[in-house]
Parts: sequence; C-alpha cells; structure tokens
Amino acid sequence: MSGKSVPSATPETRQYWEHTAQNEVWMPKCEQHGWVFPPRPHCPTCGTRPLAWQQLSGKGTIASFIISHRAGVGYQDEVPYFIIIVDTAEGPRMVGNLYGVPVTPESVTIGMPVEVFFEDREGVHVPQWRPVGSTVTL
Amino acid sequence: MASSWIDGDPVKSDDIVIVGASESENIGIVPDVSAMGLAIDSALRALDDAGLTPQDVDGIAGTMHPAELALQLGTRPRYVDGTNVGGCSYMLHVRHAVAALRTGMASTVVIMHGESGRSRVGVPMMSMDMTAAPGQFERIYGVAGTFSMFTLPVMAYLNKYGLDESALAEVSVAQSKWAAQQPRALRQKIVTVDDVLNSSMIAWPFRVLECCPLTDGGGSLVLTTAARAADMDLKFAPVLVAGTGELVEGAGSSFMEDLTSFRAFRESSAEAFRSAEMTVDDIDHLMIYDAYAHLPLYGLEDLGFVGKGEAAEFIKSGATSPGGSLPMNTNGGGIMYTHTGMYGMFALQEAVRQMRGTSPAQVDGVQTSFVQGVGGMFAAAGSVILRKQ
Ligand SMILES: [Zn+2]
Repeated sequence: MSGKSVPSATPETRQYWEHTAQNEVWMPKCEQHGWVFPPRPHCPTCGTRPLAWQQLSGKGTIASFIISHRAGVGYQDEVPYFIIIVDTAEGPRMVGNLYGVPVTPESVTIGMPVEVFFEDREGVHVPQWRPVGSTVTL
Repeated sequence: MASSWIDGDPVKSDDIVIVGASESENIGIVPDVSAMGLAIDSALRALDDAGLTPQDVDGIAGTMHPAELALQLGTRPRYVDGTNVGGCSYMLHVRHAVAALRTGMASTVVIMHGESGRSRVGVPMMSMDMTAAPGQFERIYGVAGTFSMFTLPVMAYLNKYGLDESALAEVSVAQSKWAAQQPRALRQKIVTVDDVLNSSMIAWPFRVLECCPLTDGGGSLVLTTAARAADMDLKFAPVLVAGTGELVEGAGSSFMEDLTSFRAFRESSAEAFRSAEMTVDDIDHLMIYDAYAHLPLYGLEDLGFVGKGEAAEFIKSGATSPGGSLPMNTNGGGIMYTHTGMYGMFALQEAVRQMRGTSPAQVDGVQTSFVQGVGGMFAAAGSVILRKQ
C-alpha cells in the first residue's frame, strides 16, 4: 500500500477508469472536433452529446516535465520523481509520472517517445509512462 | 479564433478612480491576526485614505465569504462580488466594480483581501476537490503543491526557445534588486544567478528562490466615481482605472491550449489595452503576478512587451531592473515581497503606490501602470491599467 491517491471517478468520467481497468486508454471523441479530454459527456466546441468513446494507442512524446523534490501523497518513497506532460500520438495531453530512466534532467528530452503502462492503486488502474522499449512496471 | 465577444464594446472606465488603497498594518508573518482580521484592517486603512467609514460603503468584493465580509466590515452592501478564480480575482473585482459604479449599482466599492497563508489563523479547512478534472487527471500523480503543477509547462517553453535554467534565475535576480528597496519585503537580500541556482531544489528546474514563500497579509482598495472623488477629502490624488480585462481559460496547467503561451494573458491584456485605448508603448510600469519565476517570462511575451522567446534576454539585460526602461514587479514580486496565497491584491497595491508616488522603490516620472494577474494554475487572468491623474 503506497497510500497514493486513488482517482475519484464521477458518473461522467467512469468510462475512462473502466477502460484503464482493462489496461487501455479511451476517451470521448466528437466526429467533427476530435478528442475530448479531460473527459466530458459533450463536445466543448459544438455541444454534441453523447459522444462515442475510442481507444488511444498508448504512445506519445514528452511535452514537458519537472522533477519533484517534495513528496506528494503516497510518493514519500519515490522522491525525487518525474511529473510529465505527454502529447499522446492522437493529440490529447495527459499528465503522468515517468519511470524506467534515472531521475535526472539529462535522462529526458522534450519529444522523447514514451508508452503507457498501468499502476494498480487499490484496483483502479492509473496510466503511467515509460520509454518505448522499457519493461519497467510498478 | 472563437472569441467573438472581442468585437463587442469594451468596458469603458475613464471615470472610475481608486481613492483608497492599503495593505494591512503588518504582512509577512502575522500570527496574531486572522485572515478576516487582516482583510478588515486593510479595508479600514483604505477607507481612511478617503475619509470614509464602513457606513459609506454600499458595494463589497472579495474572495472570502461575502456575507461574512459584510458583517465584519459593518455594511449592508447592495452590490456584492464574490468572484473567486484564484489570485487574480482582485483584478476581476476591479473590472466588475468599474461596471457597477458606472451603472449606479453601487457608489463606493471596497475590494478586500486577507489571507493567513503562513500562520493559518482563522482559515477554513482546505478542501481539494479530487473529483474535479485536475483532481482526477493531474493531482493523483504526486502533485505536492502548486510548485509541482503550476511549473509543469515550463520545460516546453524553455526548450522551444533554447533557454536553460538561468532564464528563471534571472527573474529572481532582477526582482531582488527591487525587494532590497522594500522594507516590508519578506526576502530583502540582493541575489545572484549562482545564489538562486544553489538554493534548495523544489521541483527541477525551480529552486526555492524561484518560488513564492507563503505569508500572511491583507490588502484593500476603495473605488468610486471621479465625480464623487472630487468632493472627498482625500489623502492621495485619485488613481484612474484606465482599462481592464479578464479571461478564464479553465482549470489545470496541462489543459492549457499552448504550453508555451497563456491564452488568458493574451486576451485579458488585449482587452485592457483596448478599453484604455493604450498600447504597450503607453505603459511606464508593469506588475506581472509571479507565484513562480516563469510567469514574468510568459507575461512579458503574452502582453506584447517583447517578442516570443525574448523575455529572458530582456530581463537579463536589466530592462526590468532599477534604472531599466520597463520597471517590473517593483515590490520584489510575489517571490520576494509577499505571497499570501492569492497575491493579486499586492501587485495592485504596489501599482497604486507607484501612481501615488509613495512606493519605497518609487520610479520617477511613471504615469501609467499595467497590472497582470493570473489565477489558479494557468486557469484565469485579470488585467488592470492604472493612470495617474
Ligand atoms: Zn464537436
């Protein structure tokens, strides 16, 4: 038990967490205006609802990052650790942690390819990221 | 561009003035006054600037509970603004007060801030909404504070323009030169780039001297019409609210449209310039809300004072330091002066002092000041342009 925060799904986001439980990332998508993230039941551009959900590839590149030297909830044993923004291959941006590389600024470049894996937090699967080819798990 | 409203009539404000402005008696570490007490102390001082009492107040604004604010101050307001979009809320309160005063919804508006960010005296329990979008999709990843989320887009910015960590350090260096002239600043020591880079790491690339400290403090403004001000017994010449703007982009720094430029900075400032019928060339003095050292870089570019990617070099050149062409964050900024949590009121206070000619770091000859606020973590922005009358 790491004590890390377990995401609190709402009825509007439940599908997202149901898909991650299957180790997949799905998001709502408007046929005209593309992906909707964070997930909402409607398209923020045209208001269309409901939206169909589609699967993402789980690939992306690092858009930005920091290295936290202060522990967030449940991260006491990981300091320092990466918090990153990923540009997914399909477009939506996701936040996560980066594993599988030494925790130094030199380990990361903007645009570095990463792929998703999943961290089990009390049965809820949280998307996390590692370099493509890495087999690190949590 | 989806913003069709930008073609509408700007909120004109050529007849609304600030007649009272004060911080609380003490700021920084104030363990013997509650958050509400700090707000009310500053409000009474601001009212005293204009020879007014609580009974003269018919409009109030603040981020604290409006009914409690009204009770504590001792007024029954017919105009209330409880807008809370984070630290720039007070810029929005100014903008809304201008509209209220112009339309007769109120005749005298007091905007109040009090926060016991450090001592936590009289502060309601913080409730982080973990079901909101940032709660579900950002904070679960070990976000220990604003320092590890508000800062997150910065590497996209630095990488885009080929900049390194020293770009952030130069912001603190420049502002420390102003803070050294401010007796009320929490951090008053002039620092070098090495001092900053050698200070303790908080969230790489941010060191502690690039992050705001948590402090206690209050601040208030009193606004009325220029016509009423003419009949008041004022301690200081009224300061004109020449223009205002606001934009909400939405919660969460990873959800911003462009990680290297803040749309709300761009659009709220453009609206302020438009309503004041001014351009960057008309601005003598600048305040950009700096909870963290990257914000003045984004701000200088997004407001149009420099081109994209040029802010770091501009600051390093000394342009924003004492003696420079664009004095910026002359109280030392949130990083050096004080940062109660919602710092915007203190940026406004320093701008008013510069227009009154009363800042301890007074810049000679300044006639105009642009105050740019940010709220949440790249979530909202508010802009106020002040002009000396
Ligand atoms: Zn749509």
